[in-house]
Amino acid sequence: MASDALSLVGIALGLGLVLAAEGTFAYAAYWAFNIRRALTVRVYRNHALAVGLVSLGWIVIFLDYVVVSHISTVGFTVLNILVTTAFFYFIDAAVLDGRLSDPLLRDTLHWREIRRWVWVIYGVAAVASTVISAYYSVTTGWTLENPSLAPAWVNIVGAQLYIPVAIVVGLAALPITAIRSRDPLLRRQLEWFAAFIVILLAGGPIPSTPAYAVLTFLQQLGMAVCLYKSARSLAPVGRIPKLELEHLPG
Amino acid sequence: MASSGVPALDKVLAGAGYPDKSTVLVVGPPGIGKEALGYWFAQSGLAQGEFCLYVTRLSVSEVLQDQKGFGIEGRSAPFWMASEGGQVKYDVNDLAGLSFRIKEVLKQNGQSRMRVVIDSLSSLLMLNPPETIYKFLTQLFADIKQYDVVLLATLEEGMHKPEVLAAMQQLFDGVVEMRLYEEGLSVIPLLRVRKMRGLPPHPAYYNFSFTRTGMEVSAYGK
Repeated sequence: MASDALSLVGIALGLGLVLAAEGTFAYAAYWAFNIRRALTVRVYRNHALAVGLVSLGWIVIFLDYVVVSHISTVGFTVLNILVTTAFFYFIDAAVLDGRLSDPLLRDTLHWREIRRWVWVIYGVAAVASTVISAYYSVTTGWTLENPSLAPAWVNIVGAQLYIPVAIVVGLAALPITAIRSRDPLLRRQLEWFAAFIVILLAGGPIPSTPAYAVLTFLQQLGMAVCLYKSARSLAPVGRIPKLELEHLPG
Repeated sequence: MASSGVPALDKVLAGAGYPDKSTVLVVGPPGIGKEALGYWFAQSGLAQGEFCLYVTRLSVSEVLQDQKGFGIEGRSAPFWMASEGGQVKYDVNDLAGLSFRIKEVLKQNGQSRMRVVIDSLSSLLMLNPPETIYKFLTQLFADIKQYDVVLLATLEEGMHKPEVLAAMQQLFDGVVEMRLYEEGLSVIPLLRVRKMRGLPPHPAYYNFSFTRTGMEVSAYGK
């Protein structure tokens, strides 16, 4: 009886954490899109769009972990590519945005010149990853749960070639962008986004035991809060003082 | 009076635009569209045959590309003081040179009515102590007021300390604020004329939006 009650509490706690994390991710996406709608200049709108897309992508990824426990291997690869592409789009937009808040207008890593080529490299890596994943999945029955069915290189980077591209570019460009920018809000936005990434990398992805699952859900909630803070830091949003509302025209 | 280039904004500014020989500051967060007010102000002057000086830390091609985003296809070009592609090179580190060049350009065109757009003051404020920029602007304003000039400058909100922002606003004859406000679960951009020489205090807020043909301004709350 006691263990039944304990497992019920565990399920309720887990469910609560999942709902809180998913809700916060959705709220982060909502704010990012809301701010995007209110802005006018393309560079800044793209930056907000990227935060919104990462939030939406993470809702789907987290649902895949929790509810579906992995769609097919190829499907998971494609889903991973879509979310990583949102990250990559974020890096691209943040570097372009950061240049405008650098008083010396420096072009980090000559990004405006090389970005098209980097996107091409990323695209080729993403397509190659999908092909490799599909090939081994069909010919050997390779899945994420049975990694031994494919050569080691497929498990290490072969099916996720695009991720190192995004990591290398992000690690190289974003810190320089943050340092060069004199916009405290952009810096705060990047700091919250970095906190989101750090928490993401700190935890394991797949809940296998109840205790581990709760930790994973807590990790997701932490990531969601960081992403929400990051979305709120996209632009300064104030409130009209109540006293001033009395002076509305008409 | 000098038309802002936005008929709806002119209406807010007592129907005619910015006062003659005035200096106007447009304040707002990055990305809200402050520079569009500069583009329309310049285009409006050029359309009336006035001389227009556009000072920017960007390259001319970047500004032209940005203008297109607002549906502005300038038939006449202003006199550019830009980091690249302009008639005069703009070096953000050379404050004395900037002041000298602006005055020289105005001196050469002093017979006609002129408009000056500076986009933006924030880079100057980030690279120099605020006191240096106050002195620079005070001197510049005193010099250019010898001519028939209306000057419009932009300033980024959120990049400077509130006291610096407040002191900058004191220097100008007019201040137009463009800000984002939280209304329930929505974020809305609102515009406010904080002050304008010759106009009574005007605390009202206005909704604004950009269309392919210009800017729409309507009273907030209606």
